[in-house]
Amino acid sequence: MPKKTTGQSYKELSRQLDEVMAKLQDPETAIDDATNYFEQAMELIKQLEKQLEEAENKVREIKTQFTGE
Amino acid sequence: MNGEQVVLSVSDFVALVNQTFEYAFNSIVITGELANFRISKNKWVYFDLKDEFASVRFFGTVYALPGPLEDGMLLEVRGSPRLHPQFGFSVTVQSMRPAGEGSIKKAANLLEAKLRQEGLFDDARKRMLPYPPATVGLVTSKESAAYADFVKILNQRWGGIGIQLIDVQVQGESAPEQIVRAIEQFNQSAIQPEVLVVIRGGGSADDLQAFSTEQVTRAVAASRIPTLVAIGHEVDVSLAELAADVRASTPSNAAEMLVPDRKDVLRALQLQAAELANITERVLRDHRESLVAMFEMSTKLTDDNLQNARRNLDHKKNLADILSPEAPLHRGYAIVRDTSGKIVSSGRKLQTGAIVNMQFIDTNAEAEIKRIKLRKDS
Repeated sequence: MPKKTTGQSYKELSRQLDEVMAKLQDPETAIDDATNYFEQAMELIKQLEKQLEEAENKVREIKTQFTGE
Repeated sequence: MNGEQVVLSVSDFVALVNQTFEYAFNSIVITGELANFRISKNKWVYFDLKDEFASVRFFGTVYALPGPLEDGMLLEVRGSPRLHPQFGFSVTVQSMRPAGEGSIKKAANLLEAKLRQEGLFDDARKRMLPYPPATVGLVTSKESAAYADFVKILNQRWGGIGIQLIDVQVQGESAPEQIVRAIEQFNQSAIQPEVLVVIRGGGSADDLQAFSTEQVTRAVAASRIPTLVAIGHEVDVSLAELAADVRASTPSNAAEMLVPDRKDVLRALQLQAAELANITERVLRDHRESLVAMFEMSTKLTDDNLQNARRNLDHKKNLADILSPEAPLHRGYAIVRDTSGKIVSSGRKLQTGAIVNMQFIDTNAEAEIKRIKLRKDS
C-alpha cells in the first residue's frame, strides 16, 4: 500500500478516498484486494479526520481570539 | 446849497452804494417765500424772496442750494446786498436753507424724490457687509453717547475689531462737510477699513438734518467701502440711511448687526461639536454592526463547511465499515484459504484429506476436508 505523505490537501485526499471507495463497492473486486482497499480507505479516513480536526481546532482558536469566549 | 452838493457819476454812485452795503450789511439773513426760482446754465440761480408787502431779487450759484426747491417754499437766505452796475439791485447768496416745518419737509421730500430717481436708494446697489469685519471705520462724534454705546456693545459681543474713528460734528452748519470729508478720507486711505459706520444718537429733526443733506447722502452712496448707517431712533429715517448698504435703527443696533454675539457663536459651535460627535458615534456603530454581521456570517460559513466535511467523512466511514471485507464474517460467513494462503472460492479445487484454513470473525481454524459433494445447481 502506497503510504500517503502528509501535506496532501484535504481535497486531494478526499478524491483518493472516493476512488478507493468506488473500488471497494465494485462487486468484481476480489476479497483480498478489497482488504487492501479497505485498509487504504481507513488510512485515508484517518488522515482526513486528522486534517478536519486540525481545521476545527484552528477555527475554534481564531474565534476565541476575536470574541474572547 | 446846490453848490455844496457832491455830484457823482453813475459808476461812482454804484461803487459808493456797494461800499455802504458792505460796511452796513456785510452778511444778513432774510426770510421769505420763494418766487420766480430758476437755474441758468446749470450754474447760476435766480429767485425772489417776498412777503405780503415786498419782493427782493437774489442771485447765487447752484453750490449754495440745499437741494431741489420749489416756488412757495419758505427760505432763510444768508447773503450780502449788492447793486450791479447793469442789472440793478440783488442779494448775493452765501447760503440758504428751507425754513418753517412745511418748507423743510417739502425740501426734504423733493431731495428724496430726486435722489431716489437717480437710483441712490436702489436695493440693487446694496452690498453685503463682511461678517464680522476685521476693521471698522467709524464716523461720529467722539463725545457722543452713540460712540460709547457702539464701541461698548461691539466689544461685548465680539471684540478684537480694529476701530478707526474720525471725530466729526454731527450737527450744526459744519457737520455735513466734516462728515463728507471723513467718509472720503476713509475711502482714500491706503488701508481701507472693511466697513464704514456712520452713527448718531437721537435728536430733533433739526439735529439730524446733516444726515439728510444731499452732500452727505451722496458721499454715503459713493463710498467704495460698504456702509452701515444708523441715525437717531428707530422712527427717524435719514436719507444717508436710505443710501447706505445696510441701515440700523440705532447705534447700538448697528453694533449688533455688525458682529455676532460670541456667546451665540460659542453655543452654536458647541452644538455643532455635539452633533459631530453624534454622527461619528453613529458611523462607528454602523461599522461595528456590519463588522459583527460579517464576522458572524464568515463564522457560520466556516462552521457549515466544516460540518459538511465532517458529515461527508462520517458517511464515507460508515460506508467503508459496511464494505469492509470482514463485515460478512459478523454474519457467520468464513473465508477459506488453502495451505498456501490462497482463497478457495470453489470446492472443486479441493481434494479429500486436504488441509484448509478457515477465517472466522474472531478466530482462525484449521480443517481437513472429509467429503466433497457437488451442489445440485452448480
